[in-house]
Amino acid sequence: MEPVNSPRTGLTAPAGHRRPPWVPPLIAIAVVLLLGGLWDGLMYMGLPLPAGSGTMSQDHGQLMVLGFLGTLISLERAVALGKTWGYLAPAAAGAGGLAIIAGAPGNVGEALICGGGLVLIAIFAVVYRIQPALHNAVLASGAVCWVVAAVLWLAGWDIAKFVPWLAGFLVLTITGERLELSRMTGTSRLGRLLFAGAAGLFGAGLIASLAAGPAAAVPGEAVPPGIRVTGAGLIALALWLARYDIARRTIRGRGVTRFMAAALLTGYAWLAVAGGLWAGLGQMSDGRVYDTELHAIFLGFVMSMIFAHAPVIIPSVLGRPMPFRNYLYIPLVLLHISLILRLAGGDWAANIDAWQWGGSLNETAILLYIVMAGSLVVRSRKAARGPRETPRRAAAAPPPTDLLSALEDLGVPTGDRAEDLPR
Amino acid sequence: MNDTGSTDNAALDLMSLVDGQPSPETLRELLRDVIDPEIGINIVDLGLVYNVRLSQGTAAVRMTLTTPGCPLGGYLTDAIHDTLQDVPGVTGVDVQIVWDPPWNPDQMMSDWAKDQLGWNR
Repeated sequence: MEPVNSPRTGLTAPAGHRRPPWVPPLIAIAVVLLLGGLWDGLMYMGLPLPAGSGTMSQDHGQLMVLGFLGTLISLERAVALGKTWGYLAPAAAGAGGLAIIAGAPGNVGEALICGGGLVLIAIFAVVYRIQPALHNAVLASGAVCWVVAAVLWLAGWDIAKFVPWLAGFLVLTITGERLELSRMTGTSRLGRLLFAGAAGLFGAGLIASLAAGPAAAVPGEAVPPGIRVTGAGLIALALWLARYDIARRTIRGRGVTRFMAAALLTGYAWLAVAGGLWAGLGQMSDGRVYDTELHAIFLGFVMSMIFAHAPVIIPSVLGRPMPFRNYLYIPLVLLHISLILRLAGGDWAANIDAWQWGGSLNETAILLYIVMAGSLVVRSRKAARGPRETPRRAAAAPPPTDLLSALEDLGVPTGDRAEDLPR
Repeated sequence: MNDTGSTDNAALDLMSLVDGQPSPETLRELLRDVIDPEIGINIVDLGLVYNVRLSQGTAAVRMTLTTPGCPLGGYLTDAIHDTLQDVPGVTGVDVQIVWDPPWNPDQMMSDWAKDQLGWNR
């Protein structure tokens, strides 16, 4: 194999200086897109708000998935690859999202977002060349779903007809990562085969969903099988995660490790719920069923994954510590409770107040988490530069040595961490 | 376990550390403070650290990640810098991430890490 050495850091360069200068602006763009998408969401729920550009209120899903998450996920991958051209993916997705918000003429926004997806595929092609493995193929498939969704959007398909591909981008991106991490638990060949079967079923459903055509569904028309098969794939993936994911082990950890596992496991439950809804109800069209089918997966599953990984991804991308604090559980719990209120009390029981309260609290949970995370990063910058906060050694290394205490007795820095981190 | 794995019982020459001449084994042992936050296991026992050297004050760490697309690279690199840069005798830290040899959990993770993560259960 050709030796590949990247990224190589400078000698003791301050952490933040090792990231390209355009990383913070790209994150800022992602936040703007999130706020735009949330504003769209409030209008969708019938709150009396200014509508912004002409098409903005119709593009909530695309803005949240391809704009906000597309920018964020491709930025994360570009940082990991360490190649300058990789940043074209988040730049294009971010610019496209801004064009949508601004109501740019023509299909400039959609085309830019499509271009961002193509660059992400190129990133995964490079990664696959270095490490040909099933998990990297799955991750690349997620990027392909992004591009398919963007092309269908450009072609004028109804959002309800290509929204499964939006889900495909996120589901395959997330589960591909989980498959990769499952290697740490010694997942067997059978385990990997089962994953391939589940992901294959999901992908087959996506392809079959295309048979429904571009037009919005008409009440009473025959339901094509694609969505039901996709739902079966989601259930299979949720079952696989419940059986093989490393969060089953790490939930017994402490601090940030336990928080991440809790967010992951609750997210998997929502993935199973979404799969049941997709498989059982089939058709995607406007209304309460549609709201339930989509937000079980995009809020319950995907947003839980975002909450889970932010304490790791933000420091990795920004080069600034984000110390874990137990109060990060508050928005996580609020997200799940408000989602139950919205889907069960609002959509299922047809109570408009419960629906609007649930939806508004969904957004409150997301914003609260962002404010908390941002505050932790800012405060860590202001604090005297000390050791990075990570789970403490005693929880994460074999027990026999008392090296830490010995070194501390000798006055040697040992990377002693925040007191509330896992021990 | 091969030579890229952890050294559970590395000889710790604490006095040489205080004297400003830490051995590679001691630096490697200090890297047990660098923990994958999602897994809760340190990078040495995960088998990610291939080699540690100290040359003219520079601690050179040769390591890998579980996959080239791993978004954790920047986080771990920063944590390694934070852990080693203030050690007496270390004037610089150089982290090199390589993909050859590829990470192999079966051969590179320590028995302790495998036990923590439920192997053979």
